[in-house]
Amino acid sequence: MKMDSGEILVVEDLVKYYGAGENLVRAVDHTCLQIERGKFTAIVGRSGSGKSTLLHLIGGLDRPDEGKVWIEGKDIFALKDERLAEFRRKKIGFIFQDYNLIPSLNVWENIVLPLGLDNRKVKRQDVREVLEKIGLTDKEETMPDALSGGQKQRTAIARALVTRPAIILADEPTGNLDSQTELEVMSLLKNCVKEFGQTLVMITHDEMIAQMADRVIEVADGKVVSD
Amino acid sequence: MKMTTRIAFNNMKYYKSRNILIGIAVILTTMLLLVVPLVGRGMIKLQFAVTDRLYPAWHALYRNVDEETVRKMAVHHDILRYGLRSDAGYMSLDDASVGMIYIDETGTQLYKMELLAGTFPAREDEIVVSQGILKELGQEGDIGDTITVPYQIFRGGELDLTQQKEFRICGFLEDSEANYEKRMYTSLISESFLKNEVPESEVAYRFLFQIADEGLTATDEIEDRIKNIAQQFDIPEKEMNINHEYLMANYVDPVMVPAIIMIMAVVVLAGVITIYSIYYVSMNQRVQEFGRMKAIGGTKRQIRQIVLREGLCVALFTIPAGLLIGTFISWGTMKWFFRYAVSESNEQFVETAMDILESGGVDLYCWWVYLLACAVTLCTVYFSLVRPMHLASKVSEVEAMRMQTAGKKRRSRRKGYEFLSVGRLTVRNLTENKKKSAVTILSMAATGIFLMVTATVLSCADPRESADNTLVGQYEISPVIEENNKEHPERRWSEIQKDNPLNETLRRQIEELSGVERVDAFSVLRIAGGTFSEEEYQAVNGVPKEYAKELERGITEGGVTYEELKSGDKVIVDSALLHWHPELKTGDKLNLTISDGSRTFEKEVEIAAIGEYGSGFSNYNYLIMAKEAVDRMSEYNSDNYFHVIADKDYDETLEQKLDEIVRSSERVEMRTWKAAYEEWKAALGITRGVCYAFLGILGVISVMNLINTMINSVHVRKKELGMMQAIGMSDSQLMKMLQLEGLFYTAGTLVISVGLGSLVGYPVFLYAKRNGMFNISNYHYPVTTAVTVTVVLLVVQIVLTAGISRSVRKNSLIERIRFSE
Amino acid sequence: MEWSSNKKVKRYLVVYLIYFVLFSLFMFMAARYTIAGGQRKMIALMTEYPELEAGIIDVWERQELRLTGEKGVQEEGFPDKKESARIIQMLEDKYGYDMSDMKSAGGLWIFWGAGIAAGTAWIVTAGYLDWKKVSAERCRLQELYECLVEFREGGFGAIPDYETYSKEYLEEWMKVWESLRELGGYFEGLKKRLKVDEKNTKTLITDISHQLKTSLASLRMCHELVAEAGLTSEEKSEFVRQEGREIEKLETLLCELVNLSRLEAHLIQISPVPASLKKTIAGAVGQVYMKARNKDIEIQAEIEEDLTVSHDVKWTEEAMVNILDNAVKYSREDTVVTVRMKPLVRNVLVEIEDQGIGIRKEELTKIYQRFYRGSDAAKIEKDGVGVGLYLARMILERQGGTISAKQKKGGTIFRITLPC
Repeated sequence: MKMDSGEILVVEDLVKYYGAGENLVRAVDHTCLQIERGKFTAIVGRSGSGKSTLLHLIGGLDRPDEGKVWIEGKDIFALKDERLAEFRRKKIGFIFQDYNLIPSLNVWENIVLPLGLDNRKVKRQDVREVLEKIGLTDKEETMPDALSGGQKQRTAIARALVTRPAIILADEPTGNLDSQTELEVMSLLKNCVKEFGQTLVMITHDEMIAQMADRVIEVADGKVVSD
Repeated sequence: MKMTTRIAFNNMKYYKSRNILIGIAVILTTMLLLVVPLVGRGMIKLQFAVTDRLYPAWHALYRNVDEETVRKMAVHHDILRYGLRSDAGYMSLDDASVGMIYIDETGTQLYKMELLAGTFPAREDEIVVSQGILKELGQEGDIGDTITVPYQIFRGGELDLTQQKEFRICGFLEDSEANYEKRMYTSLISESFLKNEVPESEVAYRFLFQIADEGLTATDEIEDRIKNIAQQFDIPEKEMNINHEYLMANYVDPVMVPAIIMIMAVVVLAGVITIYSIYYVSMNQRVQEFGRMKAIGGTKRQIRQIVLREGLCVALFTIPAGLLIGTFISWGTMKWFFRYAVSESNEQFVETAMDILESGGVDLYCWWVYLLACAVTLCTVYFSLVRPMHLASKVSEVEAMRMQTAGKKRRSRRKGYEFLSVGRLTVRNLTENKKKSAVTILSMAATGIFLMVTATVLSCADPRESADNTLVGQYEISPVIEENNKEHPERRWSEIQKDNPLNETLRRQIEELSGVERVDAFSVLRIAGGTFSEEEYQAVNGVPKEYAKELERGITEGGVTYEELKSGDKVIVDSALLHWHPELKTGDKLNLTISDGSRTFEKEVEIAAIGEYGSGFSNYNYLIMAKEAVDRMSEYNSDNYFHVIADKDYDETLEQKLDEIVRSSERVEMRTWKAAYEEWKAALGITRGVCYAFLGILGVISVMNLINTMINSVHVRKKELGMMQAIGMSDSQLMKMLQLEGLFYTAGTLVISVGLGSLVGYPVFLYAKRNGMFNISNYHYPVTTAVTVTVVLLVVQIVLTAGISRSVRKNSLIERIRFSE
Repeated sequence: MEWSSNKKVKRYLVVYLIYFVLFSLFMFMAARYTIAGGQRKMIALMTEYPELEAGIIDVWERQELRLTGEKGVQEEGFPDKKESARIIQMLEDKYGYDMSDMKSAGGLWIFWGAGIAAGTAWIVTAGYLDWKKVSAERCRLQELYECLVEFREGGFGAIPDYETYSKEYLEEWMKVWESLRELGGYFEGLKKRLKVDEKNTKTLITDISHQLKTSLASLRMCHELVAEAGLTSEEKSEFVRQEGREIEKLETLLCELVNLSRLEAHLIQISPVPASLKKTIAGAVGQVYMKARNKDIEIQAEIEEDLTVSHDVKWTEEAMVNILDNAVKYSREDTVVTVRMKPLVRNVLVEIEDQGIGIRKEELTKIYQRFYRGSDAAKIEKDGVGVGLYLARMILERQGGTISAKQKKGGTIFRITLPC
C-alpha cells in the first residue's frame, strides 16, 4: 500500500481510449497526477480535453484501459465492482452538473440517501447542521421539482458532504447557474470543504471559477499540460 | 396524412421492446378469438353430423295411437311428415329377443333404416331378417328362401301363445355388435300380416313425425309445439317420447351461443386491459416527443393519429400471425380432443365423431369466423388506444420541454423518512407511480380472479365425489325389473317382492367374498295412488340404520331423527321431488296408496323434513323412511338394492365374482362404482384440460403486462439509477431494490387474485352446486392452482428482474448517467 | 430494514427453523405411537369380543374426547374417581399389576433418549463454536496491539491486509482497521505538512530578505552618491528626494511584510464580529481616496442598505484596501471605480469594478500567488511587491469568504463574498 507520500489521490499512467482506428479518441492519454489532502484542486481545460473522463475515472465510475488510481493508498480498480461501490459511497462524494437529485425523494431524503445505502445511522443533529449551512432549513420536505437550480446544487453539496468522504469530486457544478448563484454555491462549497478538512477536486472550463482553487491543473488532449 | 403514417411506422420500430410485448398480446388474443368460435362451431357441427348418422330423424313419437287419430293428425298443419310403426310381437326364442315390427316407408326413412339387400315386406308372408336372427333360429337362407318362425303376438295386452308360420325372406338388415352382444334383434313384417294377426280394435301405432320448422330455431319452441299437439289429441304425456338428442343436435341449444359470446368477451377484455395498460405505462416516456411535435406545429388530431396508427401498425403485423397460429391450434385441438375422448370411453358417439372428422365430413373453417376474429381484435386494439391517444394530445408543449410529466400534479412538499434504506427507496418509487402500479396490478389480478374462480369450480368437481353421489358403495346389485313385459310377468316388482332374488342366501354369498366388508340393503315400496298417481312411479325408500347419520345430515328444512323415522308415519322428502311438486312443504300430510305384492293399503304420512341426497342414495325414490318402518309395512321382502361396500374401490377378482353371481342368477343386475367414476373422470378430464389451457393463455396475456411495467419502470429511471450507483449503490443493492419492486407487484396481484378469487369462488361454487353442474357436492379449495399461480408468478418476476438488472448493468455507469435515452 | 442485512440473525433463524421442524416431527411421531398403541388394543378387543364392539367404540370415543379436553374431565357415564381407584386397586391386588410400572411406555423411552442426545449434541457444538470465536478475538486484539506499537514508532503503514482476508474479520473489526488506516494517513499528512511549513518559512525569509536587500541596495546607492562629492546641489537634492521615496517604500514594504509574516505565522487572529459592512467599506474607500483623487479617478459606491455581517473589521478593511489600491493603481486617469454591496442568500457580495488594464486570462489563477506580478501590471508599476491579493485572499478565506476576479471589456470586477 502506498502510504508514504501522504497524497490522498494518486493517478498513475492512466489511459482511456474510445473508438478505434480513425475514430480513435484519446480521452485520457497516459496521465499522472497527485492531489494533496485538504486542498481545493481545479482541473481546467477546454471541452473535449478529456477532463470529464479523467474525473470519472478518478471516481471509479468507469474503468480505465491501463493505469491505476490510488485513493487513500488503495488501488481502487483492484476492487471488485461490489466493493468499489461500497468504497465510492464511503470515500467519495459526487456533485454533477445537473440531475443530481432523485426526483421522488424530498430534500432531506436526498441528503441522507448515501447514508441509507451504506446502512449507517443518521444523526439528525448533523443533518440539521448541514441543512443550516446550505441555508435550506425550511425546505426539508420540499421536492426537487420545486427547487431552483441553485437550491438543487446546494442540496447536492449537502449530500456529498454528509458522509464525510475523503474526496469530493465535482463536475462543473455551477455550469447551469447564473453568475451570482454560482458565486454563492462556490463560496459555500469552499467553506464546507475547508471546515471539514476535505479534499475537493473540481472540473471547470471557467477560469473565473478556477481562480478560487488552491491549485489549478490544466488538461489538454488527455494529458496534463501544466500544474 | 402520409407523414403521420411514416412517423407512426418509425415509432413502432423504435420502441421495439414495448411493441414486441403488445404484439405478443395481440397474437394471443387473435388466436383465442379465432380458436374459440372455430372449435365451438366445429364441435356443434360435428355433433350434428354424428347425431344425424346415429340417431333417428323423428322429432317425437306418440305411442298407442289408434288409426282414427293417425288420420286426424296426418293432416295437422304443423306436422311435416310422419311415419308409423307397430310392434306385432316377438319370435319365441329362449335366449334371444327378436321383435317383429311393421314400419311404413316414411317410418323407415325416419328411423334411418336401410336394408342390406332386398325389399321391404309387402305381402303377408314376407319378412326381413338378419344373419343374427337366422342364427338364433338355427336356420339358413337367402332372399327368396323360406324359413319357419315361431312367434307370439301381442293380444289383450300381453304376449299370446306361440304360433308358427312359414315366411319368405325378402330382405336383410345389418346386425351391429350391440345386437350380437345383447342378443336383441329386429325383424320386419308387412302391414297385411299385422292387420291379419292383431285384432282391429287393438292395433296401435307409434306415430313418428317431424315438425314443420319454418321460423323455429330453438329446441324449446319445437318441444312446445310437440306437447301442444299431444294435448290437442288427448295423448297423455307418458306416451310421448321426444328425441331430445336429435333436436339438440339440429337446432341450437339456446345456452350454447351466449356461452361462446361470453368467452369471447372475456378474451377481448383481457386483451384490452393488457394492451391499454402497456400503453398507459409507457406514455410518460413519450411526453417530450409529443410536446416537441406540438411545438413545431403538430395539431392534436395529428398526434392522436400517430398514436393510433402506431398501434394499428403493430396489429397489422401480428394479426395474421395470430390467425395462422389459431388455425393450426384449432385443427390440432379438435383432433386431440376426440383422440383423448376415444381412449377414455368407447362410446359409439365418439367413434363416429372421430370417423367423420378424419374423413373430413365436417367443414371446420369458414371465412366469416376469420373475419370476425380480425375485426374484433382490431376493435380491441382501437379501444385500448382511445385513452392513450387522448392523453398524448393533451400534452402541453411547455411542460414537455421542461421534461416534466404530462398532467401530473407533483406535490411540492412531502413528509419523508428520516433515514433511508433500500426497502424504503422501493416504497418511494412505488408511491410515486401509484397509478401505474395500480393499473398493472388490477389488470393482472382480474385475470387471476377469473382463474381462481374457475379453478375452484373445477376442483370441486371431483369425479370421485360425483361417482360417490351416483352410487352408494362400490357395487350396486338390484333385481331386474320390467313392468311391461307380457312375456315375463314375473319381472314386475310386485311379483319380485314375493320371490326376491335379493335374499339372505345372496347376501351371505356376497359377504363371503374376500374384499367385501358388508352389504347394505335399501327397501322400496311402490306408491299406486293417493297424493301421487301411479304413473308418477313414486316410491317409499327404506334406508337402513347404517345411514342414519347421513340421512340426518342431508336435511335442509325441518328436522327429524332416525328414531322418529322408524315409526313409519313420518317421511323425509328428497328435494328433487319438489321439482314436480313444488307445493309440498314440511308438515304436509300425504295420503298414500301403497302396493305391496298383490295387495294395496292406505297410509297417511307426514312430511317431517326435506333433505338433499345424491341420486345414488335415493335412486329416485323420494319418500324416505327408516328401513325398519318399510319392512314392517310390507309382507314380503322389499329389498330393492344391495349396496356392496368393499374395502377397495375396485378389485378385478371381486368384480368378476360378483359378475358371475349376477349372471348365474339371471334375475339381478349390477352397476359398479368404478364405471361411474370412469365416466365422470373422462367428462371432467376433458373439461379440465380445455379450461386450464384457455386460462393459461389468458394468464400469459396478462404476464405481458407485468413484463412491460417492470421494463418500463426501469427504463424511465435509467438516469436516476445510474445516479444512485454513482453515489455508491452497489449492484446487489440495485438488484435487491428491483426485486422488491417486482415482489410488490407480484404480491399485490397474488393477494387480490388468490385472496379475492378464493372468496368469490365460494358463492360461485354454491351456484354450481345448485344447478347440478358436474354433480358437485363438496367445496374443495383449489390448492394446486393457487400454489402453481404463486410459484409461476414469483419465478417470472425473479427471472425478469434478474434479466432487467443485467441489461441495465451492461452499460457502464457513465453511459447511464450521461447518455441515457 | 437493517436487521435483515445481519447475517447472524439469518443464521439463527435457519437453525431455529430446522429445530422447530425436527421437534414437531418428533412430537408428531410420539403422538402417533401412543395413539397407535391404544388403537391396536382396541382393535384386539373388538376382534375378541365382537358382541361388545358397540360398547368398546363408545368408551373409546369418550376416551378420545377426554384427551383433547373438549367436554371437560368428568363425562357422563365415565367412571368416577372412586370407581377408578377401586379398579386400580383390584388390578394391583388381584392381578398383580403395578400402575406405576413404566415399562409399558416402551417405545417412548427411545424418543426420550433421542431427544436428550440431540440436545446434548447441540449444546456441545454451540459451546465449541463459542470457544473458537473467543480465541479468534484474542488473536485480533493482539494484532491491534502490535499495530499501535508500530504507530508509536512512526511507522504508519503496517496495517494487516484486512481487505483480502475480509472473511476472518467481523464488520466492526473492518471498521477499526479502516479508521486506523485513515489515522495513519492523517499522521503522514501532518508529517509532510510540517516539512512543507518549514520549507515555506525558509522561502519566506529568503524572499523577504531579497526584497529588503533590493530596496536597501537602492537606498545605499543613493546615499553613497550623496555622500560622494562631485554632485551639484540639484543632483544632491534629487538624490535626497529619491532616498526619501525609497525610505517610504521600505516602510510600506516592511509593513506589508510584517503583516504577511504575522499572518503566515498565525500570530494574528482574525476575529469576526458582527459589524456594519458599509462602514468597513467606507473605511477602505477612505484610505484610498486621496490616491484616487490624484489620478482623477472617481470612486462610486452603490450601497442601498447597510448589512450587519460577521467580519473582522480591521483585516477586512485591509483586504478591501488592497483591492481598491490595485484598482486605482492599474486604472488610467479619469476613470471610475464602482463599489457595490448586495445581499445573496447566505452571503454578502461586494463588487469592486474598475476600468483599468484588466487581467489576462492566463494569469487569473496566478494573481493570488505570493509575490506574483502580472506582466501588464509590472509594466505600469515597477515597484509593486505582489502581496496585496495574496493577503486579501488569505484574510477573506479565513473568514469563510471568497475572492474572484472577472474580466470585462476594459477593466476588471473583483467579487468578494462574506458569509452572513
